[in-house]
Amino acid sequence: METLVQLSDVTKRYGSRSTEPALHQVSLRIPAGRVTAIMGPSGSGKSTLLNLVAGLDRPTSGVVTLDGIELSRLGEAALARYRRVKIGLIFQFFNLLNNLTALDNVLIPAELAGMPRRHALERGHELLDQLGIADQARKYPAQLSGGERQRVAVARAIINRPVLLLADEPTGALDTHSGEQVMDLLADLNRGGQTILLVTHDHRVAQKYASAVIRLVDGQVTDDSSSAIRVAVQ
Amino acid sequence: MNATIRKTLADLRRRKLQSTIILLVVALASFAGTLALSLLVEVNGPFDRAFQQANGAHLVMSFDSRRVSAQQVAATATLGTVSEASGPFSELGVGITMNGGDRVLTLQGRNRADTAVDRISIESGRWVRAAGEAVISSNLGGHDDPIGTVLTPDAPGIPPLTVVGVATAVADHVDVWVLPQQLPNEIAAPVAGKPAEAASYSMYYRLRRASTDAQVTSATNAIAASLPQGATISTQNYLQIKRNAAITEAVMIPFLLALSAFALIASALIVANVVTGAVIAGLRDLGIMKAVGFTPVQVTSGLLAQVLAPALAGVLFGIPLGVVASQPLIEDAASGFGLPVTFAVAPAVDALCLAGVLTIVVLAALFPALRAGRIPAAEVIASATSPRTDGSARLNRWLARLPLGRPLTLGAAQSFSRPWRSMITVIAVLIGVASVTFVLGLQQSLNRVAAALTRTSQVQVLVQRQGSSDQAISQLIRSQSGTARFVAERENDVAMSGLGQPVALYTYRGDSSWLGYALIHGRWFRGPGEAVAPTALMTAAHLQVGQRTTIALPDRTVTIRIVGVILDQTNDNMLLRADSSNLGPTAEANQYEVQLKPGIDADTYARALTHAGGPDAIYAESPNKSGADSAFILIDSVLATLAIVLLAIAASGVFNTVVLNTRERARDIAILKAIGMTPRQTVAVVLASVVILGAVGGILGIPVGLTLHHAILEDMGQIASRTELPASFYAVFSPLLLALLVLAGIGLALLGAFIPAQWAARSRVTSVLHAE
Repeated sequence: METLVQLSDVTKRYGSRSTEPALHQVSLRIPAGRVTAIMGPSGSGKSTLLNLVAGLDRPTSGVVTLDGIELSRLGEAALARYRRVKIGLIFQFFNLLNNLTALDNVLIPAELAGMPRRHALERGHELLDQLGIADQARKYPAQLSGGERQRVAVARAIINRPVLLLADEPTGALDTHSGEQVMDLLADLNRGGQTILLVTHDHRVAQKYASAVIRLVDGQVTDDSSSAIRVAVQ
Repeated sequence: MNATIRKTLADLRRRKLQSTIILLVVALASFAGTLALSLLVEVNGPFDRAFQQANGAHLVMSFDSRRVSAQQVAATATLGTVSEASGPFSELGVGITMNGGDRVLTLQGRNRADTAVDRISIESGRWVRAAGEAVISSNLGGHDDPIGTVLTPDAPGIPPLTVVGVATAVADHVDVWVLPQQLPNEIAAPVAGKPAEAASYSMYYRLRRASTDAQVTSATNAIAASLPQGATISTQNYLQIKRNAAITEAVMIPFLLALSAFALIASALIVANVVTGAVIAGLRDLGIMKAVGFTPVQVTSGLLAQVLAPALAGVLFGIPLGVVASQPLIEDAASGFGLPVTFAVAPAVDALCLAGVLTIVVLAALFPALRAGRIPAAEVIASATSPRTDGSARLNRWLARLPLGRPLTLGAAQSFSRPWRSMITVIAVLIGVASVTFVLGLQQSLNRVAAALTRTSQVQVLVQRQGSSDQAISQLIRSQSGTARFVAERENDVAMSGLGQPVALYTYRGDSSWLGYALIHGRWFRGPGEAVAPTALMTAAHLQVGQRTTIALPDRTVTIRIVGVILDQTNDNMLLRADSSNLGPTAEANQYEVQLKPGIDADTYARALTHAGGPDAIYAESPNKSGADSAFILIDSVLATLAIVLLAIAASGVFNTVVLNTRERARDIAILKAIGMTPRQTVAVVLASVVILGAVGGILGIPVGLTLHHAILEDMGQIASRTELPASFYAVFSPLLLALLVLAGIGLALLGAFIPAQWAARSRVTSVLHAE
């Protein structure tokens, strides 16, 4: 199975050398086309791992590769373009821009990438329709429910057709019903071939939607069910 | 330490950047304010001290010894308007060879320096005790130690004079003092056949009422009326001397005050902005403070203390800086009187600045601080955490349709998201652009004034006739290959109807319209019966262009029509310029103004002409304009300094706004970066957020600057020489310059936003979103 993301001996330390690393010599591979869940207790390094894969942060040591691109070789601008094109990000608290309508929120990554507004609009409407919130296009985030906001966030994440969708506790701020709706959407996307890396501490979500689970404790991988992809820690 | 103080200190440590901004703008405003007020209060200090020490004369009058006797002049001391007098002292203008050069100097006979009125201050050496000794005025300068120098008068009856002292007088028209018996009643004219030059009597008066020009003029008229008609040769009013003494500094006061007011307004707005920003940024903290028991008074006082602490530091830094900066200007005023140059501090001014600036700061901070104190705890906590759609939303939708890069439209949409803050940014830019407009305009106008006063483009060489005939000198100048054109000129003191004092009448032979005097109204004279005059004379004589007046020449009375008003500071602005035919066919010129052909060196020409004329025949020189130049340079440098101060304050205002905005928008920026906005696009978003505000500030700032330029220039003309200025001196702004000034507003806004934009571009997405 093709590997989309690979972490080799990745350590991430915040602050001085004496502090405990958030991730310690982690090596793993994420296969393409699947939903992989990262689980672990608070402070285990889940979000740090997600940030490193998203190119939002840089490892203290080790190499992160996505789709053959070694992230450490990219400058800040190239990393931004990488996030724009290769990655779609979904956050626990949606992180929508409050001053933009749902539609404009969705369009932003496409417009930043230079897509003509007409094309971006077509694609944006198509996505909102696909996600069942076409009638909310002109509303502002404050006027939407939590589930609707997260659908807008999903539409924004996939507008540039990224190779990897990173979802950080996407149901964490939603009620059970809305959370299931959002996860069903992600599952639909996965069925269409979308690779998803899902950070969650909800076992039921991981069991129902993920085809592989990586468990992190104190910055180290303790269990990897992603078809024995885990590489031995040196 | 109580909880309020602890919280305040903690906030000060946490908000170092905003404390620094307050410190900086308050320091700059205090600097400008102290500089202006120190100058306002101290500029006349040197004159007042010198005048008091010398028991200075309110009025000095010179009388013609051929028309009036010394006893008659002495008797004027008993007139009712006169409280005290010294004199009469006889005076003569004598050609003197000094340090190898020839000069015409005014010699005065005076037995002692410590006369009742107009005591002379001896700077070095001693007063004259015997024949053959002289004391020279410190204004003569040009020599390191003149004591022992021998002056050789070119006048029969006056022996060579050895300099025994250097002295300073408040009424400084005398160059050399000698014992009275050294001066003859008259000396033969240097040109054969001319009448002998008679001595004059100078009388120094202190008047019972002398606080206004009108009172001094009234006394002048009373004294003149008590003597035979035509006896008065010249008068000198102490108020005018006082104005002239520190004229450069005095003309600066209007713009110093205007720019200081700008600085204070800008500082007040920036402080208010900082406090409002601190309240908005710290809403959650404020809610928690109230929840744990802080009273509204404690919340308000805590916020005020956060502002007052850096403001106090700023004032304590800015005021001494302003005092130091004012010293060169005050010293410049003092040096004219030979007073010791001391460090002038006006404690009252400094205390006023300190109290004034801190009051403005407190008032600016008070409203937002009071508001913060009154907001209910639950409301502030809720408003600090719930998502809001602000005023930029609608603009965002509209701008998104424009065919511009999305970062630009996203940034531009933020322009008015906080209207109060946007208004302050606009005002900050407005003040910056208005200051630049005003300063640039004033500098250009002053350049035109300087060019009109010095006339160096038109006249490069001045020739004085000495021991030669008018005809010979005219022929000599005409024969020089470097001469492009020249005009012969003669000066006469004449009495003019409606004026108690004599007026200088300058008459020209030949075309004089090219001389370069700037016309304020009307036109240059074209022939006999016409004249031009400066504003001050027109005002004093209640004349308007087109009206006629009568002047009394030595041999007859002539009626002339004033056809133009000119910018002219010669002879204290009391003069007329007219055609020589008014004087009759026999009038001889005594001065020549020469325009040289391009490429001819003026000094070389002047030396060659003097040499060609022969010894004692003529004296040619390239006019020394350094006095005027240095005054304009001084004004220009003060203007430039204050413009930079104002621009720094304005940029700080924009900087502060953008810092507040980017901090409030940190989440949005982090989200945008997370979904793929590059650092350059982030910079573009932040910079675009101030472009519209910069343009609005620029557009509004230009008329403010133009109005200020017009008003201040008008004021400066009045202060400097009671003159209007030609309309062309106001019209210094080309359409291109105005367009550039609008761009300057945008540039200023971009300058203020540049650093916060870089910070935003470098901010870590993870730390911001993690904090969320």
